[in-house]
Amino acid sequence: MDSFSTHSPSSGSSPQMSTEDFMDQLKTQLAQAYAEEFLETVRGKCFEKCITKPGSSLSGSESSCISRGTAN
Amino acid sequence: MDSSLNSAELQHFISQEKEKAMVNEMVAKLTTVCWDKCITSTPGSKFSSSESTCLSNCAQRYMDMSLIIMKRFQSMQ
Repeated sequence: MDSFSTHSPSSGSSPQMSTEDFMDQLKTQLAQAYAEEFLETVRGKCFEKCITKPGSSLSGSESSCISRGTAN
Repeated sequence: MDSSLNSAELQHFISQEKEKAMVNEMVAKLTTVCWDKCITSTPGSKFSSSESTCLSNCAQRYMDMSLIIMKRFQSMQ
C-alpha cells in the first residue's frame, strides 16, 4: 500500500508542467490566499465592532454596520 | 495497483485537504471569537443559559455576517 517507496521520480505518469505554467498557477494561488486573508480581516473587524451582543438574528443596526464596513 | 500518484488524484486529494483545513479553521475561529464575545465574567463550573444562548447566537450570526461580506465582495469582482 505504500505508494511512495515504489514511486520512481524518473517514471512520472503525468506530463511535466512548464515552468511558466507553474509560475502562473502559483501566482493564482497566492492571489487567492491574499484575497482570503483580506476577507478574514474584514470578517474579524466587522464582527468585533458591529455585533456586540449576538441575538437570534441580525438586527437592522448590525446589518447597517456591516454594510458600512464593506463600503468602498 | 497503480503505485504512482497521478496528477488528477493528487489534485483531488489536495482540494479535499484544503476544504478540511478551511472547515477546521472556521470552527477554531468561531470558538475563539465567540468565547471572547460571550464569556465575559469569570467562567463557572458550566455555561449559564445566557452564555449558551450567546454562544449559539454568536456562531450563527458570524456565519450570517460572513455570507453578507462574501456576497458584497463577489459583486465587486
